[in-house]
This record gives sequence, C-alpha cells and structure tokens, in this order.
Amino acid sequence: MERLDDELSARRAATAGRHGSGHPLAILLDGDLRRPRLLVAFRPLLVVPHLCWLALWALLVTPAVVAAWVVALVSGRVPTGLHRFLAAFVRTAAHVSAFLHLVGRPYPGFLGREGSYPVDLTIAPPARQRRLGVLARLALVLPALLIESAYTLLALVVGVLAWCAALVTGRMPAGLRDLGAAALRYQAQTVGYALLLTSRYPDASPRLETPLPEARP
Amino acid sequence: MTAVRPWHVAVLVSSGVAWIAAAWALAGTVVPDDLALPAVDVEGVFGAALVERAERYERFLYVNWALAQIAMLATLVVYARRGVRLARESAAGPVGTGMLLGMLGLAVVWLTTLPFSVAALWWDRRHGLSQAGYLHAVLGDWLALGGMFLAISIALLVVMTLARRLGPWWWIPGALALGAIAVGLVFADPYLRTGLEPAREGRVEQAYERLARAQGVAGVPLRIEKVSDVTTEANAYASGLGPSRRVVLWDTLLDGRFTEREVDVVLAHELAHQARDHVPKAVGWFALFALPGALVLSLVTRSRGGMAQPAAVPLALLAVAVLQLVATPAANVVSRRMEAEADWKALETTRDPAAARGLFRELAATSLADPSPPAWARLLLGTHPTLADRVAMAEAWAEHHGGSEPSTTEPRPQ
Repeated sequence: MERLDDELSARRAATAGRHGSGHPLAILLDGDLRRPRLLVAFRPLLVVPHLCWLALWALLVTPAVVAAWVVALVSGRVPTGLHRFLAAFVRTAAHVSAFLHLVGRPYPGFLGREGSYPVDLTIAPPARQRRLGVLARLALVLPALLIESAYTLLALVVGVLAWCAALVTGRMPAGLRDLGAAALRYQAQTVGYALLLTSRYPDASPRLETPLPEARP
Repeated sequence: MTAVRPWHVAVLVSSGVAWIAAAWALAGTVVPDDLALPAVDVEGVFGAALVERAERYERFLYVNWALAQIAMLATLVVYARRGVRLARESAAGPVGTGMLLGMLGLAVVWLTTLPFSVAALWWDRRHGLSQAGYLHAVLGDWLALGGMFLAISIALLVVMTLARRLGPWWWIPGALALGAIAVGLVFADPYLRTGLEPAREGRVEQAYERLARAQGVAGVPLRIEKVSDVTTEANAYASGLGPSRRVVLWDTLLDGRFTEREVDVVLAHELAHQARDHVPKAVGWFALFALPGALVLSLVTRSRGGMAQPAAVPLALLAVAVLQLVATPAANVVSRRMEAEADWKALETTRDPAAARGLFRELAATSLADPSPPAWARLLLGTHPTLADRVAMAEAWAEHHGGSEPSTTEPRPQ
C-alpha cells in the first residue's frame, strides 16, 4: 500500500505543473488525484448551470470575436479588453471541461479568473499578430478543428473510463488524468487560436512534458 | 439583537393585509356557495371489487410515500449537519458554492428516495399500470434531476445575491423574484415538453373547438401526448401562460376505453382550467406561499450567517422540505378548489352528468384510484377532489338543474 502511494506521489510530481511547450496557452495541473464519489456520481449534471451560463456567454462571444477580428485586421493586435473577455470565456470553458472529465477535483467558478481553479489555463497577454494570419484564421483553423474533434472524442472516452474508475476507487487514475489534460489543452489552444487569443498554432502532441521550473507564470 | 422599528412593523402589517387581499381574490370560484354534495354509495357506483382492488393498490403507495418522506427528511437532517463540509469541494466563490451545496442536497435526497421510486414502479408494473423498464425509468429520473439542479441553482443565485446585497430583508424581493422565476418556468414549460402532437382525430378536434367556443377560450391549441408505451393510466392537463397556453390529452384517453362523451368532459374540464385562469392563479398562490416561506427561511438560516452564506444552504434545504410538507394541506385545498371549479364548469358546458359519472368510474378502473381515500391521504396527497366527491358533484349538478341530464347513456366501447 505504501509502495503504491509512493508511486502515485512520484507520478503526481512528474506531471503536476505547467504544460504547454512554451505555447501562449498552457495548462496548469495540480497533484490532487482524489475525487469524492458523490461529486463523481453527479458530475455530468452538476455542470448543467455552467453549460447554460456558457451558452449565454457564447452569445456575446460571437460579436466580440468579430469585433476583435476587424480590429486585429486593421491594427495587427486584439484590444486588451476584448482579449481579456475572450480569454475569460475560454478559461471558464476549460475549467468546466476539466471538472466534467474529472481532470480537476473541485467545482469550478463561473467567471474564468486566472488562478481560481487548480487545473488552470494560463493565457499570455495580447501580442502582435500577422494580418494575413488574422484574415485567413477561419480557413487556417480547420485542420486544427479536425484534430480537436478527435481529442474531444478522446476526452469523452477518458471521462467515461475515469467516471467508472473514480466511482469505485474515489481516485482519478493518473494516466487518464494526464490524457484528459492533454486533450483539454489542445481544445483550449484550438479555441484560443480561433478566437484570436494567439497566433500560435495548437500543439497536437499528447505528451505532458516535465514541469517547467515555475509552477505559475 | 436588532431592535424592532415602527417601519418594520408597518412593512409586516401591510404585507399581511396585501397577502390576505390577494388570497381572497385568488380563491374566487363559480361553484355555487350553497351547493351540497349528496352522499354517494361508493361500492354501488364503482363496484365492490374495484373499490377493494383500488384500496389495496393505494395502501402500498401510501406506505411507500410515507417511508420516502421519512427517509427524505432524515437525509436532509443529516445533510443540514454535515453537508457544509462539502463546501471545500468548491472553487466557485460563495454563490457558486451555495449552488453546489443545493444541488448535492437534491442529489442525496434523490439517492435516498430512489428505492421508493423503484418500489412504486414495481407496484405499478405488477398492477399492469406501467410498462416502463427499471433502467429506463431510473436513467430518465437521473436526467430529470439535471432540470432540478438548474432550477435550484437559479433560485439560489437569486436568493443569495439578494441576501448578499440587501441583508436580512432579502425575503421580500426574494419572494417576488421566486414568483417571477415561477412565471418564466410555467410559461416555458409547454415549449420544453417533447412528444406532443396536434390532435389527429377530427372528432376530438371538432369537439374541442365547440367546447372552447362555449367557454370563451380562444387560441389555446390541443395537443396529444404519447404515453401509451409507458403507462395505461389516463390523464390530461392544462399548462402554459398567455401565448404558451395548451391543453394536453394523454393518448391513453383516446384508446377506446372512454366514450366520446366522456372525452368531451375531459376536454371541457381542461378548457375550464384555462377559462378560469387556473394556471396564473396557481402561480399567484405560489408567490403568496413564497412570501412567508422566504421570511421563515431568512429566520431559520440566521444561525448559519443567513442566506448570504453557502453554509446556510443545507439547512435551508431542510427548512424548505419541512415548509413544503407543512404547507401541503393548504396547497391541496387550493388545488382541490380549482379542480372542483373545473368539474363544475365542465358540467355547465357539456350538460352531461351521466358522461361525467362514467368518466370518473372509468378513471378509477384505469388508474386504480381509490374513490374514497382515508382523510389523512386526502389532506396530504389529495390535489383533486376524490372520485366519489366528483361523482357527487355530477349528481348535485343534475339536481341543481332539475333533471337536464341526457336520458340516454352512451354504450362503453369494448
């Protein structure tokens, strides 16, 4: 039993931290793999308020991203306010997805504040983007969306397996957690790219590399 | 201890006066005040064998219901004491944490009462009233819980936000806000239901149009709900507000077990609910009950810092469950009064008490409803007048109108 705990601790230490290959959108993981069974059992229903909230929020995101696209096309940069608004949306969606797929333990908030959730998404401030890349963003994102749909399917499988495992053991298997986190990271990077939060193309690698020296930027 | 100020008293007194005036306005009915219901020979009307079978069937459900209530209250007592610990599973801030605790409270109640729901389904299947599979029913119930999670989250969002901004007086705007939420939910309800089809049987539609004209109800569509794959029981209901108003018949009413005249009585009864604005009145009653309910809630949760604090939510759930149980007899009185009014208006429209009597007899047979349940069951579970009382009303109507009952009775379909 002690050996198992040691292995788990070692595994946690190996993957907890910031993961993003230097990408402007990176995911932060905590090391807590315990999942209380009551919250596991009802997890798909507990996110219903978040899903409704995100659906309402998405109504505002659509005009915001159009405005960001027009401004970025003219000035080569997304205004800070719009960037912050879109980043909060993507971060909230990432928090909710992390909770739903059991990658994160606690119940997430609704406002997408950075540092408010142990499985967090760090998003770099707005940077200059090439106008041609902004103009063609919709076409450029299509291949990434194809891969993202595969990652979505993977996240679903991970979520179902993790749900069964955590319901029995009260813990999230570390391997499934890492796989779920990789899927989550790719999804967030793709949406971030589509919403003009970054000009950097999503990193398709499913590998979570060893943590960077700094846990939080 | 907060000192009682004159304006506190003024607010409470004026609220009380407004409450009584509103209740008076909502309680109006077209049933004559002097109407005396004759005694009905229950076994003579319904048949001794059916009465005995229905009593046996209902007895199990009464016990099952009582045990479920005890289990629910016991669970909520434990949850009120220990549920606060689950707050550490939240990173959602005070209001979000309150929402989580509210949803988890419903979840543990659902888990505790699940065996009783399954037992009721087993009993229904045993009596041929349900064909629903256990897995299908449990999964459907679990998914329906998602809707309840959303509803309690919205209610807690409103209540906790008001409590955080207004302090101990949140309960006045809180009750109004809960009333507004109820209006929204009742309005949206017909649009959220699936499996509703327009009436395809020309005769039913023609009868519906004729009865709607007679009651002065316009623009309320008739819909048929397909339930025959899960139950053999027959039912109908009126729902919606303003443009969302609907009358819905279960397709089991049209499977040949009920005569055309009996179906007409059902249509007239549901139209009467719309004609007499029973749906908005029910929302009005909800708002009236919500006002003192919210006041009690604000007082009960003071020991946990009031409704502004997530720690108060588990205790609030227990308080709401107890309040609901205590208010049930009063709510049932209101509901029975509306149903009796709809029965009366249906008789006035169809002028066919024989068909009404036949309908209530057949409802007893198809739903195994005890025509004359014990007084405690009437008090706690009786949302409608008993079938014996409904037959008595049909006879009282015939008496009141000096034998205007049609002389012929329609042969029951085989």
